[in-house]
Amino acid sequence: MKENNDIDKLLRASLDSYHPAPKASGKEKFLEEAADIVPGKNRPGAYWKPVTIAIILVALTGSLLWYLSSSDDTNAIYKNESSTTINDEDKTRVNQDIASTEKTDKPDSKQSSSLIENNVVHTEENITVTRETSNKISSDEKIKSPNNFASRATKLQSEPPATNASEQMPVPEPAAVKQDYIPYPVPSSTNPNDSLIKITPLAQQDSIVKNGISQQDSSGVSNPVPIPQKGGRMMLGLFYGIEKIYNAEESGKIMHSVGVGFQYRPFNPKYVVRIGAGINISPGSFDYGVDYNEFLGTYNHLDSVSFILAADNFHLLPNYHETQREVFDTAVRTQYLTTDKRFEYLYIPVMLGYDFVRKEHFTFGLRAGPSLSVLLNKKQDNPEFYIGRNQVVQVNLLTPLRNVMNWQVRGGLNFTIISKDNYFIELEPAFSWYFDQLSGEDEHKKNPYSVGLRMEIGILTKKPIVKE
Amino acid sequence: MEETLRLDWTERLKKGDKQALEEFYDTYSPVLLSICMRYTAVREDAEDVMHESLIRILKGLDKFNPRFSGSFEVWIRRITVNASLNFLREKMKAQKLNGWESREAIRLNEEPDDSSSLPQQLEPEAVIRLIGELPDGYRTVLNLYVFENYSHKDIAVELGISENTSKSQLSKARALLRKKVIAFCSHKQLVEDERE
Repeated sequence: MKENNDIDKLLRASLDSYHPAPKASGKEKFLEEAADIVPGKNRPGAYWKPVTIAIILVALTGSLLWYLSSSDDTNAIYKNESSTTINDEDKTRVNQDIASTEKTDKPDSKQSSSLIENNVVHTEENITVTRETSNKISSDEKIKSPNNFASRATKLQSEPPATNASEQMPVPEPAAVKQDYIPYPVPSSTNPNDSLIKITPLAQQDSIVKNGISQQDSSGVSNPVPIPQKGGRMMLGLFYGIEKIYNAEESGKIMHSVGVGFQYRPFNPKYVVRIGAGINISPGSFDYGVDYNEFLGTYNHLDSVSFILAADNFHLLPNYHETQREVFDTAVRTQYLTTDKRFEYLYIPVMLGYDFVRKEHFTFGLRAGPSLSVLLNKKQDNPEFYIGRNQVVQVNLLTPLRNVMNWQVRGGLNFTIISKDNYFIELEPAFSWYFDQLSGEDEHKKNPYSVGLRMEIGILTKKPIVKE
Repeated sequence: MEETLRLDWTERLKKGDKQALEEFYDTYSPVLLSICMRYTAVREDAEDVMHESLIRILKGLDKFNPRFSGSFEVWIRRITVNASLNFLREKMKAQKLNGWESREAIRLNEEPDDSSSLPQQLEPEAVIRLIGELPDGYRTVLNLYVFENYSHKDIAVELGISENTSKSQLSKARALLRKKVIAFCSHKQLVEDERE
């Protein structure tokens, strides 16, 4: 039982009706801040908006990377073919190919491989025709007009290569071709196509080829050509992160994150774009204030009394009908309780990186970028409290609710080891700075931050191009 | 009738009704300010804590169960007390104090005799000033015990101290306050006598 000291009585009596008026500026400040507060912003309806934004963000980034990946693949094929060398035999074959194409409208596979090459080689190779060959073409083939050759040659450049021999049209023998058209008369001194096609001497061709990608020595044997290193490496992996958070109500607690990561090097292998999606599991606790009326005891409450006539038919025997009732104190007391809780976030990191050191099996670099956390599991039911036989008046949650969405900026040092089988493992000590509080909004509080370690294991989906 | 009005009023607050916000402020800010002044001892600090409490209440309206509308005031008082305690914790952290246990020396032989009569009531401003002169630890325990009706066990849990420390702090707070009240009354009497 509380003692009722006279000083206590004095304090209560003096301050019982003391209600000082706050400063007038306080009201203005409150109304200004209150206008920005929507009490129901943490309601379930607000949950779908950030999730939708997050999904769109991931889809857009994924699409962009996929597009870049696809376009770079095509370049890679061209590049691999670019080391093809041209010798005299090939040139002759090309000339024949042009001739046969005139008849069939389809290039053959050998021609295709030449045509796919670099534009400089491609153009010169197909258009550089000896005067004899030109004459031969002009006399053997049925050419409607002088421009037909030029248009055909141009068409060959633009036509896609036929990769399957079965798709090619059979090439008829020149003799079998009917003489339906009058051969175009070719002047002996000048080529009628000169205005459209520049005839290049073979010696000059070599110099052009040397200036291009392919290089050829005097014996006609091709040399290995340094390939400019390009992007195109994709990495797919599973990541796990562990971090310790500070400046939050959960300060010092450990958070875990797991998910799938995708990395791509779009322009230069030293630069990397990394996206991912995962689940971030964060511990927390809720403080409750439970108002209750204390249980004092029970008593038997007399509901009614009935009487029956005794055997002597004279006396009445009472029969008491009672129920046991509980008695509670009318004073409201409060008990404070804390319950542990686990929060689950959808975690979407978008990171950009640069590698300072880049070896065949090891890279070291910097990674930095924004990360978005969207609260998935925010069910916060009042737990069952055991406070004996006391009567609960109400349960008040005293801890502010978790914010649905949280942006962080994250940076770390990345160490990657790549095995010969194209598997990789990444270790990344990182620092994260949170833009907002995890719970509620309090501008007077410092922003949370965390330090942690991220690990990822995965596979390179495309073999890296190694500079020779 | 009053409860019905209050229910309607909290609903309007949730919808962001400006008039309801003003009514809320006018009705409760003096009540909450008096609580904050008891804890913080400095008027400016009390106004800041009151403001923070009002914002917290507004943000936490969703958590308030309207079925118990009668205890709305209990709910907002608790939030204000928590905000005040947080303020004192931050203050102690800033001043690098170890905890709630104040160690102001009170020489027992100088304690006023219990038989010294205390007035029934004093001017509230004077009482607030005298409470504010107590060390933070004494003042906090005294406030929680006398005005919030916490038991020593509750105070021990809330402040992270032992029950015995709570009892000791309360006892010292009372003694020191009694001393201050008597001194204040004597001084007041002296001034009045001089005027006469």
